Amino acid sequence: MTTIFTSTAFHGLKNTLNKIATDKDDIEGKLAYKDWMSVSEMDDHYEDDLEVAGSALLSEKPEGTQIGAHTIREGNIFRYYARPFAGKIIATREALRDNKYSTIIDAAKRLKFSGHQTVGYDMANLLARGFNTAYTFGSEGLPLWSASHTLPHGGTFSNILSVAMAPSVLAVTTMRAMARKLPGYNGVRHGHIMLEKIVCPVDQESLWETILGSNLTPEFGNASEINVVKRMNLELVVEPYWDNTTTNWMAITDAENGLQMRWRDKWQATTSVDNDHWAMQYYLYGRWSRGVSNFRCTIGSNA
Amino acid sequence: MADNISRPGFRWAKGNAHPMPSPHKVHVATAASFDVSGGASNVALRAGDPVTMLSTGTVTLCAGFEASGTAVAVYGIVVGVAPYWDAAQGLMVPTNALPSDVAWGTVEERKSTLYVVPAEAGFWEIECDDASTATTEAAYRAFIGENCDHSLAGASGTLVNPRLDISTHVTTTAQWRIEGISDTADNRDFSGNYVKLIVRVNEGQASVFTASGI
Repeated sequence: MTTIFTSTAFHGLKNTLNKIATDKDDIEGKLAYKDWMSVSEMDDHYEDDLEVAGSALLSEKPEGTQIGAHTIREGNIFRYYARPFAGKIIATREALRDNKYSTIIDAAKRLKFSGHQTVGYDMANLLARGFNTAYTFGSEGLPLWSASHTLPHGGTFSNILSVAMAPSVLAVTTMRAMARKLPGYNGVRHGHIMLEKIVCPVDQESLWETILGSNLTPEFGNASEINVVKRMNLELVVEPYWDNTTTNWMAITDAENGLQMRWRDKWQATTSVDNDHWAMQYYLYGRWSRGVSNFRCTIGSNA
Repeated sequence: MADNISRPGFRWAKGNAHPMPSPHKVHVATAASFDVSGGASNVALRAGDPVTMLSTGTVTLCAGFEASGTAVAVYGIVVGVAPYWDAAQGLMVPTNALPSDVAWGTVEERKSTLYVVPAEAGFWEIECDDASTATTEAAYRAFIGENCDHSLAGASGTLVNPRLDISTHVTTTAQWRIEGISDTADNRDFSGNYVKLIVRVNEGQASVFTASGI
């Protein structure tokens, strides 16, 4: 809980063990957030992304009359603050010297494993809290998924299914139509926003594989209707740390500047000796920001 | 709603002045039995468990509000365990949990010893024992500045499993003062169980405290 003493892992004080059963630090490359967020780096303590809406539809201009003037307007501003995460393990010099198994204390690797898990959970919190109005983004003050996202020139749009749907062909086709109807920043239907990925908790993984992979629509009794969802070539991303629900899911679209993770400081590991306690201290520190700058990047189903 | 990761026991969060806890060596009386009121008997003391100091100069498991009992003043939190006397083997054996009822008699070299960080040395992280008293971050935040007892009702087998008995949060006295919501990434779903809070001792046995707290 605080310091690792010889007593903390006393079974390792003599060579009597066969295997050490423990978590293996092999998850960094498997973290799913990289598949549904864009990962980049940031250069400052914070960064701002700004929505700017351009001109809308033009006017028919009768010959010789004046051309109508258009303008631009600023919308939401999204601030990305770098948040530090850190942990340390303290081990007495006696515990380190007397333990016969390097994989028991293994402080640096254990911290790194925890660090990778922390990143995964912190990113998945975007989804876990995606419908929660207590956790919002940008100056509009709305959660990731909302029926009332604002447009710079006025008006709102929704990136949430108005009637939540469980995974199905109909749910995906409904979402595809919804993506196609999403307005651009200027408030006009963009028309070309397409679904790219389905992201779900682990509980839905097998169901989605069926829906996305079947040649025929996977419904009982169907023997001829093609599965239009397969033709969309959607990638399935299973986010294991989206663990507050078994029923919610979302689609990722090809809209730019969507969900983002920005490293300020990638993992830094250090050690120090505390002679006053005759102990070693292992530290791990990382700093990142996460958020979203374009709510059109996702459509959620609060099923 | 999903439960947060359960990790019972008190964990060092930060010190009042020094970042590293300084353990204090204390002893446990011979044949001391660690029993939870209305719960498990003969539990073992391990890192994270609260202890109280007796008039004999030895420590024992610190009762909380379990079974609606009377919570007692806290001396400190166990962080390590020295080898104890195993009469069957006739040896001092290393351990990470001091069993109940270790009879070391009057032989001083066999006495049971714990490494304890005095509770008042800093801030401690502890998880709550229910998911109904508060279900949002804001509701937990409203508890800051209030007091609360811990509970050992979750004791099972030899594990003490101390948690904060969050339903006992009061503006009057109790063992611990709620100082904040832990920044741990474990706190993901405030509608679930095991939300971790930061506490400081309020009913302590150090000279700067009164046993009834404030």
